Amino acid sequence: MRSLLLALLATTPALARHTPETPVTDYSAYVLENNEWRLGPFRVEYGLLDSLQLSTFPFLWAFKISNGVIKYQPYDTGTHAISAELGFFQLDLADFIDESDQEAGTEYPVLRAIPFTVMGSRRQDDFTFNLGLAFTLVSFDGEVADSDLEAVGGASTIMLKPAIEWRLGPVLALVLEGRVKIYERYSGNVVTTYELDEDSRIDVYGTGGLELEGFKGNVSLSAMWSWDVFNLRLGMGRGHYAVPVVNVFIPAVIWYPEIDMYWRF
Amino acid sequence: MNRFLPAGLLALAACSNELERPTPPNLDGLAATYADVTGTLDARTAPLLLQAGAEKLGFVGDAQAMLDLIFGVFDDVGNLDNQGEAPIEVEGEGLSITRSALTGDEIDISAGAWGIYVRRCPGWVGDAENKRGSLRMTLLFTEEGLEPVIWGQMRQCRIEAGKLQLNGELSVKLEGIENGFDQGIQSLLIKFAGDYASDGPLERVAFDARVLPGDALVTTVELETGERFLVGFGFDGSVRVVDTTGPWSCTESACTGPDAREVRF
Repeated sequence: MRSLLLALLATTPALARHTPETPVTDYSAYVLENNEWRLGPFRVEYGLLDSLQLSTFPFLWAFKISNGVIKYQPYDTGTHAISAELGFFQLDLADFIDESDQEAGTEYPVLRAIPFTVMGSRRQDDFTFNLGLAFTLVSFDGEVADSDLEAVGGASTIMLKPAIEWRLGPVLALVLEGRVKIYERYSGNVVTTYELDEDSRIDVYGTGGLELEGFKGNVSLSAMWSWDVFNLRLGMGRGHYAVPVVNVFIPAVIWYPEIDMYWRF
Repeated sequence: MNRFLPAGLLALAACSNELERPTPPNLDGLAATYADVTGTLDARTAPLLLQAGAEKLGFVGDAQAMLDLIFGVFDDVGNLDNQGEAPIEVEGEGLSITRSALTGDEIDISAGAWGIYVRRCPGWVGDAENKRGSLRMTLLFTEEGLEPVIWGQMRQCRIEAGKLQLNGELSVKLEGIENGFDQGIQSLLIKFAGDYASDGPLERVAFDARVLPGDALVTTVELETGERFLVGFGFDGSVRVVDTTGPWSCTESACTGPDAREVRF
């Protein structure tokens, strides 16, 4: 893999850098061009068409989380762009249990997340202003082994994702990025069975839903270097950390790093 | 179309994954008839009453045999509550903890918790387990313990006392638990509708009865004149009548009432 990347670095033309032709796609409405790649430990993307990009997160596959994202950009004038992004993530606990050890008839817990994001970007001089609205549905269902417990639950969130990119030169840009909760709701059902004695039992059903109020959000400032092929982003953020993929805010206010690296060609 | 999307997602989020809490039958009307005693026991009404209530007295006697089964429900549920061993307690604390791990917020699910209680009936002497039948009741939990009405089915339920066999709908209203389950049940209203047999063939019946705390199990009997009494059996085995003046204890030829008043017939 390393030799492949080195070969790519040596042979591919200068595609990256902060130019109108190669805008950063992470926090914007922009997509990769047709047949363009973005390879990194955190995300792999491919431009299937000039307006259609496919993504996956390799490190999530390492944790047996199936995932994929499709991003479509129907509108791009050069200064203005709009895109829509739909993802699918699934963690099936059965994948962690050998087939020979799985109990027949047991529904092992499955966690699914479906994020949908609408993004808009406006490029003006040395700045790009981006605004995204992310809708995420998270669901959980399954039986918890050895506890006679079945659970179904979920979360629904709507999040505003503004980002400003300030290009200080062709290589370096500063990125001010934020996430603000607009809507956050949790719901769930739990069924647990108690064997009271040999003649009786009770199945207790718990259900509930709650829309959480109050501010949650975060802001980060990072430097984004974009060389010919290699890109590096380093920065720090503070606030309620938003768990990637499921877009759920951690309630505590913390400092967190903003790190990413990838090769684009 | 896009402008409708957020609203659609919100609607989906709002209804995702939540089970519908069962709705109990309304026994308020029935309870009101027990509070509306209009008859006065005297030499005229006493023989009419015992004659009119003869068949119902049979049901009341059999209902006494059902009481052990019904009280068993409360014993079991009370123990479940008091032991606090449940991953989800009826107060919902357990699920709150589960969610706190995710959101850090305390969530009270008590308004949504309910249980399905299943008990094998005692059966007749010599019955195999699968011949004993069962009692299946739905219970709604509140922060104080239980909603006043529990309901469900008796399925081919056999009880040795009276050689009873019951197959139908059973509803029970608890009275006097407003101050918490530990304070004890002040009164109990029972309603049964379905197939019933008492040492004989099954017949279609509908009957109701009410426990007078520490005293008797009675049902309503209305004379042709419209006068309404409560008639039943005291826990000491005597026939009990309640009229507008209070409870009476009766033999085959006389009733003794409040202030040692006596009516002979």
